[in-house]
Amino acid sequence: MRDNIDIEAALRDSLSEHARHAPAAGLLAERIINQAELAPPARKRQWRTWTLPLIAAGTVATVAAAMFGITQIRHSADHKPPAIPATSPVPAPTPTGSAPTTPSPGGRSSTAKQTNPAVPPPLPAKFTALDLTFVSADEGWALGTADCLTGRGRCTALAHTSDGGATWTGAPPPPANVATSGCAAQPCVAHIRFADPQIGYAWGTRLFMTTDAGRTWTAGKGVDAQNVNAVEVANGVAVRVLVTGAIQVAPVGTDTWRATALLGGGATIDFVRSGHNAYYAGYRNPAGGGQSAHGALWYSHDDGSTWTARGEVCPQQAYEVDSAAMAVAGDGSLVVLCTPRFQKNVATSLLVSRDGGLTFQSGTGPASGLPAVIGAASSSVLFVVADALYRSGDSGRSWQRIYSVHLQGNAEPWLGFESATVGRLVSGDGSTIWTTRDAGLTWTAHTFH
Amino acid sequence: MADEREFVPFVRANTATLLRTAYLLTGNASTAEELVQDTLVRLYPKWHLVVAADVPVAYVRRSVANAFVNHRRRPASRELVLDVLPERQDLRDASAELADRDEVWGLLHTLPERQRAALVMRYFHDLPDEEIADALGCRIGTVRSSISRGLASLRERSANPAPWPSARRFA
Repeated sequence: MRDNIDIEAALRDSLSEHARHAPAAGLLAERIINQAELAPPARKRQWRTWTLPLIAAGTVATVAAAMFGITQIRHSADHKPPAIPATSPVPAPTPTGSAPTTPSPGGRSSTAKQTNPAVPPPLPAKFTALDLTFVSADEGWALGTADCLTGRGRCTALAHTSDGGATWTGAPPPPANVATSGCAAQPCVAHIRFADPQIGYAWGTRLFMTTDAGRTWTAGKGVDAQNVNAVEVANGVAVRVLVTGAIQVAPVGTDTWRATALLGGGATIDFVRSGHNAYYAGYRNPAGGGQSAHGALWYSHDDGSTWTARGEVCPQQAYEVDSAAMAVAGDGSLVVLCTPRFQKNVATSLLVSRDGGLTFQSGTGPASGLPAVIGAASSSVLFVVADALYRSGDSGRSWQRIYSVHLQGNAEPWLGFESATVGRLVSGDGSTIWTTRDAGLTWTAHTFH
Repeated sequence: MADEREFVPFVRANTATLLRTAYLLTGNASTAEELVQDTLVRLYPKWHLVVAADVPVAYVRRSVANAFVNHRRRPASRELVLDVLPERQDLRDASAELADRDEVWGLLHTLPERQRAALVMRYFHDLPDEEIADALGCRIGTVRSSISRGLASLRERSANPAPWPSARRFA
């Protein structure tokens, strides 16, 4: 190791990198659920001889303490509500200084509607992006966190650009925490999509929708609005994927969802849309102990109304190979990243379909690094984020290393293309958004801090 | 029970993040899976306690960390499998940075469990001392000393790799 290495930076970098090598969670989650359901039920509470006297003594002590407490509160002019739990990495104070990003304990109704000020707030300091959405080459939003305007800690923040990402201003965020490594306090959102400049969705442990450019956000109704894995909008139709693998569709801007399919029953791998085509990759239900169950691809050619099972499209070897990520290009091409399960030093591969997921052509991934994120400007111009950003101009037959700095962080980078030429890349630490307007040959960085 | 019905969506939503933590603690995929699975199944009969916690996932993560420390204390588990030996590159380029990353990873898993857990909580989860203390069930002073000693050990062992691997110590 180099002598002058910053051990803290190296440790942070190492942990972030190796966390990506953690085994896939989908099958394990189903195994845990199955095993837990087979576990003996919890023992019923048994009354012991000392229980009732203890409760009586406790009741007397509680009443006495309450009386004392009331007296103290009445004499305290500066009594404040309890602080947010110290274990929450996303404290409640909002960067807007208006509506709280975390609903108060009494205001967690799923139909609660919170109004944010009409004047967009400034972009708070140290904004870090988590997810990105663009409705045109110029207008887009970035969901993330930033330093709270009031109080300490990090708060939910929404950034808006109307010049293609050159400058960003603040926008009213959805009334939820942002899930980074996990949801610290309900509800949480981790993703955002806008269908047009007015209608947008933010989702995670709850789905929120705005129909007025984010001035107000409304929580989705019902249990199906909880724990939403994915939402994609196109052709006036919103399609959402629940954690159960259920697919539901609704006209954009409405909360009238209609169930169309239950796919897999296991964990979601990825969900993408292009035109009228939608693609869902998930693990099949491993009930019955199918530890080696593969992922599978389903496709829809009618905006999510009907679905066809395609099975695992990644060619299997002596070891198992899983679909790990998908991307769609503006020309309708579908790209699937195939990664070997629990294998080191084995090359990944990429599959490209130009006919809506019916047939695939195979390419290879870049020689170095373990790809985790892919993007597609077209069927031939592909991108992979591994230890660096790689570009292929020949459908994955050869790769060119583009960038190697600041791609890693505690989260995976975000990569997406709005057209055959315009694409965005968010660094893993969320501090930088790169924009390309020439199909990935050159990139312009916007750094928030 | 309503609490137990919440178990299923919780597991589906949080297994990935718990698994990452377990993998960083154990350094082994199968052990990490076993750790997460055992912890969640053990918590299932008393899931109402998880639901009642201020931050349910933090409650479970604390249980994972405690289970890790307790498991590693058992004599039968006092073994260390390293599949990557440290490289000694001195080139200041990306390949050297990758080697550093691998070496730090290997050195991390030579540290005592509490130091390792404290470093993972700090440098992966970015938790403050108070939350690390809560997660590991120890005092804040212990957390600070664990992190300080852990970093010092990493620095020392990275600067003086000669004793490798005889310098490994186990709790």
